[in-house]
Amino acid sequence: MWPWGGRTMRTTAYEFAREIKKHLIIYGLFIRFSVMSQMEYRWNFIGNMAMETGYLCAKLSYVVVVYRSNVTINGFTPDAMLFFIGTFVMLTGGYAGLFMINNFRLRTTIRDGNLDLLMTKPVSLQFLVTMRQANLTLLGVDVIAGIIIVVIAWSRLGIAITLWTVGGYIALLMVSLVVSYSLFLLPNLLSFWLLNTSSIANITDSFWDFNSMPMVIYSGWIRLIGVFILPIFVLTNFPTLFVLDKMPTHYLIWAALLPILLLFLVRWVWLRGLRNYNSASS
Amino acid sequence: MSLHNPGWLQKYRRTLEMGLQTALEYRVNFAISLIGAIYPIIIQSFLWTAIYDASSETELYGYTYRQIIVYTFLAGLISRLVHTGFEYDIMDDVKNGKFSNFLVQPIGYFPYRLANFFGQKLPNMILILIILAVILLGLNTVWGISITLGRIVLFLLTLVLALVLNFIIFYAISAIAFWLVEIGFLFEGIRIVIILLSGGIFPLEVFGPRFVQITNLLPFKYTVSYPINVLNGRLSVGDIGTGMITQCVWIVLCMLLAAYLWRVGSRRYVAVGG
Repeated sequence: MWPWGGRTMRTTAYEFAREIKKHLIIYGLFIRFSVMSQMEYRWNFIGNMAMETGYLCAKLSYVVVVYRSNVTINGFTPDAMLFFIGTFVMLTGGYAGLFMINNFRLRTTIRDGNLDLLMTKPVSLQFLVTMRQANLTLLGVDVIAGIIIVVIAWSRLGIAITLWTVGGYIALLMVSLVVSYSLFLLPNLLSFWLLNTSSIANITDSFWDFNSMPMVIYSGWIRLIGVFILPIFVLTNFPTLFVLDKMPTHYLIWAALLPILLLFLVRWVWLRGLRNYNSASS
Repeated sequence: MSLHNPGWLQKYRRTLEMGLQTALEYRVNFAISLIGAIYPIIIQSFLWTAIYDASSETELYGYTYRQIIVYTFLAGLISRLVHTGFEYDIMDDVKNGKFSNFLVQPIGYFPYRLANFFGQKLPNMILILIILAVILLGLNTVWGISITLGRIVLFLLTLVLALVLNFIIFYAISAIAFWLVEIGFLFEGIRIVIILLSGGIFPLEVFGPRFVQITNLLPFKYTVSYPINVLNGRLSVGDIGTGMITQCVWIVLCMLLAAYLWRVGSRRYVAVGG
């Protein structure tokens, strides 16, 4: 039995839904504003595209290595590797386009005491600070390229397109996005306690590249650490393993639990950090 | 401005010292950027180990397993060593009108940037060479890979030429700043493609003979791939000599290109600010 009355629960649920709706509308406005500000500086936009295309070439060089080597690594054929790389490209776009820029700005926002003004807004401060900016160029280039690679690999692998495979893949991509948001936000939250965290963040940001290759290339204990302790391998490996029908049940359970655990952890660290925040202007 | 004037050398010596001070000031940053360079080395080493384990061949793309691991380590470090970064300063100088200072002061912009670049690279180079020595010593102990002193000397010579060549390539590219205002991202895109073409990610042979033929016609492989192959013994003495001459030829050609681009570009320069 719920500890609160039916009416109160209904009111809470209604208020929660209303808050979510409000934040989704605001997020839509943030995205729109980001697009407008990026289109304003045309060469910046083209340069951004050139940069991401360059990085894409570097990622595709791994595809060349895999196909020209033509070996099966622990059950991963070159086509399966291609599928993995496509997923990696897509998720890189998601993370870099939606979260990375906010993580970078978070450090200076806290250090310079700029949270003061944002605190007065009638929306979640964490939402405002960590999701305000989006780089649609990075997102666009990588997501489009990633989808193309995944579609090619999917058809080469001859995997049936069913609600289960496509739905499960998309659901696990969402899990990966939530995990990437939380995992890479955590080191940046140290800015509440430390003056300059750019070094720590640079090291952890480079950690993203551990997703560029399937975890089957690593030894057993590295895989264990990468899935359960420092869950970096969850990001690209889980959606791929699911589609390839190589996903053990305990990984599925972990995929359901991990985003919730990490979101709670981030929220807890955020609130603790906020208590430690000193305004710079007063 | 005369060569006999001691002030000519002194001002660039001072510039070199300034670069050195900057590098020492940001030494932690550089150390951290090295950690960033270690990640791809680890990933690629695991990838190559898995590929060679799964393959029935002992040699792939003309490389044995040991040679490719050595290549992976050296490529990660050398591409970090030749990495420039001054192109962003040039962009800033042109965009914000600071380039005007160099037009009125008795200091050449090219030698200023070159001296500053080498000043900044000096401590980094020493650190990377120490790491390199430790890695080679480790490989010698574990795998018995020995490298003669002659090869080390030749490697260091080609490395200096590689640094100069990469500097001039990026100096030429920096001239784009005269045409386009905000090009930081474009530089990054160009940089990553150049790293790929120089063999800084994978050995060029991995991409097939046609790709190798194309890269043979470009200067980039002489900045990373070539010095590595000098050290790991894949090139004969004759090939090393030819390679060094080619490096010098590319330096001259790229300098001519840079001079042309800067001459044309600087005509478009408009000083901004007071």
